[in-house]
Amino acid sequence: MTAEVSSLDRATESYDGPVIEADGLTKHFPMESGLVSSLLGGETRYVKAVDGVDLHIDSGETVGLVGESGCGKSTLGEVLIGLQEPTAGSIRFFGQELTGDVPRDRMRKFRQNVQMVFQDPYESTNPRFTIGQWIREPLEIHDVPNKRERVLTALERAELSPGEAYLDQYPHQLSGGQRQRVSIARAIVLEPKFIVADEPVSMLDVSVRASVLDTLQSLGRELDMAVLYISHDLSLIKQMCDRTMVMYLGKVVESGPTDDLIGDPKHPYSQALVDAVPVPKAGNRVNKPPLEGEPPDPVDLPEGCNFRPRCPYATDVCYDEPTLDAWSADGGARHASCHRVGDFDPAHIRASDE
Amino acid sequence: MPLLEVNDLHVVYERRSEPDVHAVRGVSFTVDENQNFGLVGESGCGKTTVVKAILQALPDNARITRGEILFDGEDLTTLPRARIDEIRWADISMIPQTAMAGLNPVYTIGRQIREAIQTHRDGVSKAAAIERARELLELVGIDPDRVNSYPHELSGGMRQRAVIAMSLVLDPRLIIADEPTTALDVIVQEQILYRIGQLQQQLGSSMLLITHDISVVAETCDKIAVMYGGELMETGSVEQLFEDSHHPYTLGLQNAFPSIDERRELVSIPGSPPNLADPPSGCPFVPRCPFATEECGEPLPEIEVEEGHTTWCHEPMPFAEMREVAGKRETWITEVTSE
Amino acid sequence: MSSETTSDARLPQETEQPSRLERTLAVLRSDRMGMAGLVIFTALLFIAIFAPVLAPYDPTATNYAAVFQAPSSQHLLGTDASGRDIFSRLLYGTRPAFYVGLSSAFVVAIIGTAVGVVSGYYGGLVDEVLMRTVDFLYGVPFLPFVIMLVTLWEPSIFTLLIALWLLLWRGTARVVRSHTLTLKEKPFIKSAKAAGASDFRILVKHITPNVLPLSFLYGSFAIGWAILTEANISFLGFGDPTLISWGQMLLEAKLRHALIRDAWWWIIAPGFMIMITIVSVFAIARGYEEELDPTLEDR
Repeated sequence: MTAEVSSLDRATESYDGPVIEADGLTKHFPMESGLVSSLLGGETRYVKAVDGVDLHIDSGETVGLVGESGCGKSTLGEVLIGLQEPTAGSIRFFGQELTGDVPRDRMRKFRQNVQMVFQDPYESTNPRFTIGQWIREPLEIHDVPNKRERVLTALERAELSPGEAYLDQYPHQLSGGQRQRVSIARAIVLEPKFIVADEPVSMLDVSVRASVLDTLQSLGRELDMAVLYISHDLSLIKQMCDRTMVMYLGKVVESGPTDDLIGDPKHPYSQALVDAVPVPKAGNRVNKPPLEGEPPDPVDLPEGCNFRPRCPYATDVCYDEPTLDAWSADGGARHASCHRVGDFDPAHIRASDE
Repeated sequence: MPLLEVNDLHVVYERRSEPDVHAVRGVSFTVDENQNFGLVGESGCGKTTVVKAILQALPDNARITRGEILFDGEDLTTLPRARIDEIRWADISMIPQTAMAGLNPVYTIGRQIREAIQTHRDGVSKAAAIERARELLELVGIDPDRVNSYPHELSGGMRQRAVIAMSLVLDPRLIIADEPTTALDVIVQEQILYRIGQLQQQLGSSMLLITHDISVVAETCDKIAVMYGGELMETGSVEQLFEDSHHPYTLGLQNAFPSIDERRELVSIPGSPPNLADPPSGCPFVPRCPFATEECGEPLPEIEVEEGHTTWCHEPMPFAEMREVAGKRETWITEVTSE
Repeated sequence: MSSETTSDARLPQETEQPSRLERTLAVLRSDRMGMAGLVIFTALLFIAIFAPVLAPYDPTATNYAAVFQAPSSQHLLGTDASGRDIFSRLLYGTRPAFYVGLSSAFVVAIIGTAVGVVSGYYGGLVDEVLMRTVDFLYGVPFLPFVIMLVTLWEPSIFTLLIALWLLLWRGTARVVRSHTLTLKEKPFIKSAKAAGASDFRILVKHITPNVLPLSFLYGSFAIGWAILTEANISFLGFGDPTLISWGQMLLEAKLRHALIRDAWWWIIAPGFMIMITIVSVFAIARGYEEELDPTLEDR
């Protein structure tokens, strides 16, 4: 069924650039100061969850965003979806600006074309709604015709077949994997142009993950969607994503084609990350980790490069804060936010894909 | 003599108005001195129940209906409470899945470690115990001055390390780690697994690692046991199970995990785990196994493939053939079978 | 797109799933106390509705030839100082208890839920204002306030109701607000926002339905409190003297020295009714409360 959502703005179809673009995207959360410090006139401190991120994703592209907890990846996802207002920076959807004074109509169109799949399959559906009602809701909000047909199509696409059997079920009657498919069905029912998947399989049993990932992947292709795949699991990102961005303390520290990045990571943090991922094969033993300690809270950021205090290769030049342009290669396809790429020899490198 | 010997363990959970759940149905394995043993399986397979049985920490409605658990020759299922309390923490200790499950939020971590020491060892002074606590914190990578911190003042990774420090404080012979790094980021996971490895070597302790993550098992364990539906499917060394697997479920699991080394066709095992309130008479994996035949409805035979490598399977198809096709997704596409 | 089900997409059971009502009843059935409470409550409701049919005598009919009579075959619970049949009066007394109790429950649930949900969802200034109001209301002592209102206006049941409606919702609002704060952070609410749902839609379709079990619970508790308050007010002499209520009966018993006259039936009967009505309501609420964890939804 190739139904086209008739209320889609034809203009978006003719735009040639990326589906979604961000420049200097920033999200700072003010820390609540105690009574005493506000009385004493202390400066408000901020949790710099996202601190100046540039990105772009094209139609049909799946980009992975990888980082550890606290790096800001989930916040970035929510800001891109419009669930949170950015503190600074710009977001453009098919070239149209989404920050600042945005006409209501544009915002509505945006919401119609952008969706998110969440991590927890047990909390991402309203327990009081039937599956049918839940998937139907976006159609009701945007007043789209042929609702029943579209709901059934969405269910089939999410590989919940036959769709009719699921319409009157309640979420608690389904397994975790099925519930996640319901979330997927709801996310695609409006045939969006951009989807953010935030750890979509991490709470599912291992034997079930592959098929849900598979569904996501084929849907991305079939509907020509731009997909941002957020995960802490590099093995999954390797499996699913064309391009990858590594995030640390609110900033992207390296980006590039997935195979290249994982096969030959340039930033010391990326190297540590790749190195730490265990492999389901006999013969590897746990290595001495190159990094000690944990990332600090994104409040009082270090001087210069965020990674400097933990970096085994840091020198004086690292007090000068690097940007993603500090190192680039392959005609700009790869970037790393490090002044010293090439000056050091990483101890462990993974063999790249064939 | 092996350090831990589990023989034909059966554990049943009794329920008020519904049939009993047969969570563990005949599990036997041994853990030797200085050995890392991984118990692998997905949710509901019974691995957590096995661990609770070993620690004699089963809930009130659970009963060990058959089998024995021998620790250094003593049967833990028949020992008096007092002896169990002596053994726990001092000889067998546990690293729980969530650090907060092992830490009391109202006491500093220093005090908790100190109390553990003083309870189990006579004549240790408070000062000496604190000193030991500081040593251990340093060993696991926590600044020793944090001995006066409360658990909520530490980050998730640090709490997990504190719990590990506590589990090692009495030089136990067997450490049972229940998904110790599942909730942690990958770099912290590496740090912690590395530390546990170092400490083990220093102390000469064995580890029983429970997890669903076969990658972690591959990197840390010597021997593995794969559980499903309350029973063992296959046991053997890491090399044997990964390179010469003799069981469809093991093969399915391996092929379900993505690898950072290579992109390949990931496999999903259709269906879901069996209802252990009405346990199957034959192989529990039958409804989901692509190779199952009629004879798989018979009780499972135990087959010794080679020294140290055992499998429980009717072998409806030669294992070599299974290995060949297990990596292909279409092998696993079956008709949805009714429960 | 493959048409085969490669996933764990096992078809949901074909067996009929029980409706929400059936599940609720099943929950209560499993708790004996709750079940007993429900039975008693239903019986009392029946009595309240059919009092005129069930009562053997006109509850206001006086008979000065038969005052202070002990229970007999003619007067099941004896007579009072004016010769009126206590049993009939008892049955009629069920009515004010019910409409005070039920109306209060209703109002409490509505106001409390509305305030709690709006306060919790919007936060900020709205939350501050509403919650300070609730704090203020908490500071108002219940009985003195009711007495004051009754004195300023008139000792009618309506005044009592107004007083109850003004105060009783304060606890519900707080609890509902708490739950709303939790719900607000759940992924399904984020999903609704991302889909473009308006605040109104989220409040009405997503938050409120998930908060209703709590409203129901606190509403049930309110029934008990309302009935008790009415009895207290009447007994203290601030009630409507023309109303037949258990509290009123107790007041009269006291004024007419029932104790000295050994007319124990006049005191025990209404007292027992008050007690059993309130206990039954609390039993139901508690039976339901046991199951009020999210497990009720995610079974």
